[in-house]
Amino acid sequence: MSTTVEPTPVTTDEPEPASRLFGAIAIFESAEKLLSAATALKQSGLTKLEAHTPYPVHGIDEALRIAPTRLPWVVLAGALIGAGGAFAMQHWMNGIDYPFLISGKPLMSIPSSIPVTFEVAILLAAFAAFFGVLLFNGLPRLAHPLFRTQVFRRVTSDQFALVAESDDPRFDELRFGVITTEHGATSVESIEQDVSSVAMPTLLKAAGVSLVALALIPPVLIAQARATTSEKPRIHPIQDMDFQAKFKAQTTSPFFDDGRAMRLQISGTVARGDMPIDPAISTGYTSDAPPGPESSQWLDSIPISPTIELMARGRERFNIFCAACHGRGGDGDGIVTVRALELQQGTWVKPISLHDRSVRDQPDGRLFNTITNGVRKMPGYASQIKPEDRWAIVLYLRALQSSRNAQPADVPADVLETLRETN
Amino acid sequence: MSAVPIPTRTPSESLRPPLVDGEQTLSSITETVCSIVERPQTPRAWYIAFAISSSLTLMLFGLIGYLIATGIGVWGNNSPVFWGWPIVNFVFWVGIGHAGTLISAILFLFRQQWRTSINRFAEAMTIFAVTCAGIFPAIHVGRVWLVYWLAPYPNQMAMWPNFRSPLLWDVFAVSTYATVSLLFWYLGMIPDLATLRDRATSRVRQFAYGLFALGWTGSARQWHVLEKAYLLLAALATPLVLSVHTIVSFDFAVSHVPGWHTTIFPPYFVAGAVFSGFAMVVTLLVPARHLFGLKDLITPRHLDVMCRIILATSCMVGYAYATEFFTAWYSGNRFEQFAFLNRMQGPYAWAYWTMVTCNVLIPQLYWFKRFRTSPWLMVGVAICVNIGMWFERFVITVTSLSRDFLPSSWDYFRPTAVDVLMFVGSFGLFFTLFLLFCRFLPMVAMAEVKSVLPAPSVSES
Amino acid sequence: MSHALHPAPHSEAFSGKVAGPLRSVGLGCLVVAALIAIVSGNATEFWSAWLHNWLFSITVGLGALLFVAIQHLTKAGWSVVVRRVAECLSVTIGPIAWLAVPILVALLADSHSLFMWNDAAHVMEDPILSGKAAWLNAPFFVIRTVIYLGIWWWFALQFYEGSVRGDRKDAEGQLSRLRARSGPRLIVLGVTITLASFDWIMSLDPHWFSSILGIYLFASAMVAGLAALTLVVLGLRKIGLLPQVTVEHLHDLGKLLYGFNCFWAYIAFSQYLLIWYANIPEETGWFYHRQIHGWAEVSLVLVALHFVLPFFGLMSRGAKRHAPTLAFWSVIILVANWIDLYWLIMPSVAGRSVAPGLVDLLLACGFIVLTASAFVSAAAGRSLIPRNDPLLSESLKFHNH
Repeated sequence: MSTTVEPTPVTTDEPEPASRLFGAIAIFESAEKLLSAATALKQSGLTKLEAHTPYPVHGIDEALRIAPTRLPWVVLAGALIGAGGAFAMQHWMNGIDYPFLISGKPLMSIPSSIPVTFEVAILLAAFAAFFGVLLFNGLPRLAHPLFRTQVFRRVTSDQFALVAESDDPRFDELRFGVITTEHGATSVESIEQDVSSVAMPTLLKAAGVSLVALALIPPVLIAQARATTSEKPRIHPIQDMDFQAKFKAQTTSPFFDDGRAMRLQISGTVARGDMPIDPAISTGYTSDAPPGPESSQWLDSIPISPTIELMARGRERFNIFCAACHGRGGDGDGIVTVRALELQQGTWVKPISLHDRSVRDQPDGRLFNTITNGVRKMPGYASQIKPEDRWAIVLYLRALQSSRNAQPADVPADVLETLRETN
Repeated sequence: MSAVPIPTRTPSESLRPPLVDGEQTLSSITETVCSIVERPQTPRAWYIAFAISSSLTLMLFGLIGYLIATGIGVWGNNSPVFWGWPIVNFVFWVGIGHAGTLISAILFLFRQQWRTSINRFAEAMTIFAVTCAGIFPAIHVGRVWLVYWLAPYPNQMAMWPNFRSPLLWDVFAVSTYATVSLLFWYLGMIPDLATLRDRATSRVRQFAYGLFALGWTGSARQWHVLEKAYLLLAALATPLVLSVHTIVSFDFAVSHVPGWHTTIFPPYFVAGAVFSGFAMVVTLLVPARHLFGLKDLITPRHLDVMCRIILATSCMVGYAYATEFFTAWYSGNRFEQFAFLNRMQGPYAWAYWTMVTCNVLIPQLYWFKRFRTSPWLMVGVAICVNIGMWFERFVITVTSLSRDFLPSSWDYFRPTAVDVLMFVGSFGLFFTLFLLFCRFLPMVAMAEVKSVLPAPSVSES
Repeated sequence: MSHALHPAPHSEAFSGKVAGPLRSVGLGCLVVAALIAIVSGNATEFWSAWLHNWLFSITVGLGALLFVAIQHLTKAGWSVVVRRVAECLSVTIGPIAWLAVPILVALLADSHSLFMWNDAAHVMEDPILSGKAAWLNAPFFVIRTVIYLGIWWWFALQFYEGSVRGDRKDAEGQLSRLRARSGPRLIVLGVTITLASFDWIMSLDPHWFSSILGIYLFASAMVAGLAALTLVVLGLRKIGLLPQVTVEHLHDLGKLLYGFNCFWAYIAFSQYLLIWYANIPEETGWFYHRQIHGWAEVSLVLVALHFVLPFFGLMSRGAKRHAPTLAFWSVIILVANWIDLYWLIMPSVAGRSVAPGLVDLLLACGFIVLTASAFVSAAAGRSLIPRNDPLLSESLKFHNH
């Protein structure tokens, strides 16, 4: 380390191809001395002058005439992009692209989108601040001529340095030395810049190339997997419950003699809910097979006693099983139908109104059979609705139909009187 | 600015004691801080501590592997308490992670210069605590290998996450907080890493510190941009700190569960988080300054101020307990009233009273100067606060769930050994990271301390 | 520390000449408003407007009191030059507190035009209100209100008088006493503000409850106090009475105003989000009332004036350091606080519509003028800065980096 105040003379007669002059550095022991020297040098017209200090020295910005940074605007832009982007993202994802209702909240709900909007705004603003520092400061820059000087090594600890660069037209190393020494510099040195080895070392180059090559392997494998087909089952690292030790329907089992996985009903037993009843009650007709539409073998009346409880049961079952398509009033305007027609589903057959004469004139047994086995697009409900409940639905349906076609004579006299008065 | 003569008196010593003790110079500060990481021989105590904490960390990772292989039934979580220790531990650690950024950001904005000696330390603690916190909800999702479903990415299911769920807000809040805290910590550390780089005596150290110092030269222009960025990050981190625990409180408070749904939760959780965070800083700082010879930089004044903050936040937490209790009565809602009476008198009364004692009663000892000046008494109180704040989360989570709206499903929650060992293991992870930090990184923000040194080293314009 | 050997910085106080006329004008407004109410027979309008404007004046004084207490607690140096103004603002609580008497007397006289829990017949029918009767009854309410106001006035006077005594002798001793007491006093303030918010705002809709409301009122008071303090400081500086206040102090006042305004928004949003999200009838109804019959527009105006516009308007460093801009935003925020209290109170009062009437405006004028009069009396003949404060030199030299 040089402690002389004389600047090292620049050797011009013996040119060194490996390095050239970068500038000069002056070291100070205190911030005040640095400040006064910086002010004096700036007044002398130096433009490429920089101070290096172990901590931010107040007043140095004014002395070196450093313009305020535009970083705040970058950060504000980051915040606005984050807020706008997050807000739009949530509304598009939950409101437009994949709308689904959660706990009755609106699809595009402002209050519940504020937390994420806020967080993303902060995140992008923080990124803007951090990467703004790197960008505005030209970092990372791992090689710098200053790092080649010994005196600089204490500048990040406890000393203060002024550096003038040689490509400044007003740069004069001698004058720099004199002025800084006047203001208390303890040492002044010239800084050499290494120009011989701007190329990257071979080792680093090789490491970089192999890293890039290795990094390409996963995307290439993925691309290959996506573009080709394979006979082998796909790799299944996470099993979840995809494979379970159990027998599925219609498969074989070595456990039983007959080799079937499904078991037959044991003779002489009755399954729960399968107690035999009068075939007419469970089918709605008296013949062995379903008779033709106009046959007289359909039951003409409901074979179980029509009580008010049965009527209530029928209404409940109707509203559960039938109303979704037929509508609560039986007009063929259930929510499924309405929605299907709205979406213009070509395969949807609008159910006929249950008040249509063709339905009204059907015998009870035939209605029962329709519920049991379905008709046209309508599936059978035998597996879901018990026979008694099917009759209850028929009973309720008859009541629905009467409600649309009642005559004054159908109503008891006193009720009729009340109705007349209220209307 | 004014023609008025300015009084020549300076504030008395009692009002403005110096921020560092002893005759400190730029080089002595550098020496004090750097020598800790530069000493050639690592002290034996460090190795012992590291051996213990890293074994606990290994146990944690082993248990996580066991959990993933077996399923989350290895925890005590069961109907009706589906949020057991994992969520309690999550909120506990996230809360602790609040002091660091608070010290760095809010105290920075309030020009509390005493923060400079402890902010690096507290920020590191924040990051490690958030790391521990993040583990618990991640493994709590059950199928941890599908945790990426939380991110909004275009997928073959053509589905997006539900942004109306507070749990998803939490994902965004905690990950943003972890990222911003890390950036803030690293940005402030770059000049100190450059110091270590320039003092390095071996090529390895020079290269490693040099790489992370990014080529910092401490030029006036670099400082100018860095200071502005630091200020901006502080201004961003301040509302962020508030938002994180606010959103954690939303996890509970947007529901209908009695004892969870009360509007004071957001500020109450934030105050509790600051409370627990500062308690953890004191718990760690007192032994660390003792062991690493930082007594001149981290002075009794720093500890005193932190005790005062703990006291203030303890009063806020006590205020919140009282307010929600009063509001439960005032509401006239029988379920709310039951939930709070059940906390006091029900099967978890022991936890409730532990919480009140540790969080509200014991910190009142900080009114006495003796407790704010004697390091070991101070740590004793701070440890009680740490215990109390864990119990606070336990009380909130478990008492409300174990007595839900359906009395037939009421049950008493019992943790399993895995619950307990995982919590212990999370401390192991925390201390492992912490010991690595103490060994390899500058524990005190040297550049910042240097800039608050009293004259004549520094001239304030 | 010895007495000052140097000439104290003069900030000669203005004489209290205007206090008397101001007081007459203010009381005149109140009397005219009362006459209009008697003539029109609309008691509800008068009482609700009285409560609203009274509360507005109280938030200003309370905010100033909180500011002073916090400055003492944190041993703040920068704020010494504006602390005396804040102290003078805080003691306006005293005269304004007396204006609660009409409401309290009306309550004791069984008036329930404001507080329906004071209607015994109604409470009998309502099991929830009967359950709260132990808390919500006229005598206890009056006792509580007197306690809150008495405590606040007492604290304000202690801070004010201690500080004024310090102008003459032993500033250090006075201040260290005030400092030591500021912590416990802030705790008492926190509790009383919470209960006051429950009584004066929450019990207007006695079925509704929200545990954050105390913090809400605290935030409102801080915002109102800081905005009023900034305005008064700017005014006194403009007429040359506070030359010691530099742009640096304004910058700090602006930062605090900005910060607490954001804090208010945070608290208000937290309360809204939790109640909106959980959507349980006993809470949601309160916000529902504020979204129908024209109150939705008021809510949106509140969001704009109390948060969005000041948030962007006061964000930059330049805005906080430019006196006219800072004054503009202080006025906007004060107006927003007035609207906020209006929005908190009026939808819960049966028979109030959105538009304020003549009575509202007269009472607003009256209470603002009376607050000003109380401030002038408090400041009259005093130094406008605590001239012996040991931290004064720090405050005078204060510089934002």
